[in-house]
Amino acid sequence: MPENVPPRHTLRHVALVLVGIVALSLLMWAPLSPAPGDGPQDAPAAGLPPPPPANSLPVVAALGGDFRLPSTRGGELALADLRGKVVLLNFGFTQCPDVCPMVLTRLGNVLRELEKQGIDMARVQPLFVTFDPERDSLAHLGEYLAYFHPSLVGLRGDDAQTRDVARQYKVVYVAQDAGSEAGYVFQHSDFIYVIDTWGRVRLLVGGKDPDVALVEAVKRLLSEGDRER
Amino acid sequence: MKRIRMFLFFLLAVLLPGTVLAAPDIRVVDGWVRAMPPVAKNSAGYLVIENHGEHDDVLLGASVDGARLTELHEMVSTGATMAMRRRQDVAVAAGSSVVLAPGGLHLMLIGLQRPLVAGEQREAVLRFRDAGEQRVILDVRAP
Repeated sequence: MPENVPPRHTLRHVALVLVGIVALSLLMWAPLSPAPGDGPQDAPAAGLPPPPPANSLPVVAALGGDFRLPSTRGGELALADLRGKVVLLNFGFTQCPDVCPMVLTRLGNVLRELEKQGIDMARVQPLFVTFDPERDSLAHLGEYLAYFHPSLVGLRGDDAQTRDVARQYKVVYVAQDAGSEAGYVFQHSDFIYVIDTWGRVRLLVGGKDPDVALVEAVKRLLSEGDRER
Repeated sequence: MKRIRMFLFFLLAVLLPGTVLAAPDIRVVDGWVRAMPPVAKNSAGYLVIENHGEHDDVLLGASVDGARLTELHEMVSTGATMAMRRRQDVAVAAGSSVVLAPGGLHLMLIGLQRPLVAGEQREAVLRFRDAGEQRVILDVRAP
């Protein structure tokens, strides 16, 4: 990491962007086929997770994995604690005026839609990881997220933890000076990661994908989880 | 003398309609601002600016009631990521319209002084180079 050039926030994450861009382009070209031996590092000790049904969403083996971060619900939360649940994971920052609230709003809509369809919501866990620990305290994050949906759990690590989980999920975030009085903002990716009951990423949902893609993915992964129980 | 009067008359004939008609040339419609959690510091406003006139105009700035300050911003997609840039101005060409919408151009409301509650309204002032100040009402709503 270069330490000799001034804009601190930018440089702190420059490497990440490069990694991210390379990773995302790799994802786009060589996606969705589970590469053997390259799965998430968090395969549970008690038996390997079953391969997904042939007609289902393939495992996105190029990214993902377990993490453990301080939670808005108190204490720490690990992805591994959520086995048996479908997890909707998203990254952002609360000073984001445009993209993050849009993603969180759609996440809220998707959760309400699932609820309406009679899905057992105890088995769906939305998570939001801030990549702005400097300005997003856990208390602030908790209040902010509750507005979008009461079941949203916020996670906030220190700089190193944030960098690690972002690297695992190939999240791109670069603090940048937009010339705004609001201070630094982030250039960032905005995927929602759909994670199955075994903690494996099965789908990345971007801003242009319809809500129904999320609803259907959650239902499908829950029913797969049912068969395995 | 007669010449000067003729000239003044001519000047008036040319300039007057211009100044009188300049203001209504710009119309701002479909304005709204995103409702946000009470703890949120920032939000974004969106609207459509129509220029019905024969002259280009430029949006130079805005202020929205209840925000410490308001800037013009633009989200730019770089493929994998979204980047936000501040804009000094936004041109509105004659006979065209400019859309400020989620994921693109927007008013960036900085330092919210009271919560933006869905269903309420906020007054805003847009400053144009030629059309001057235009008052608009923005609906507060969930995105």
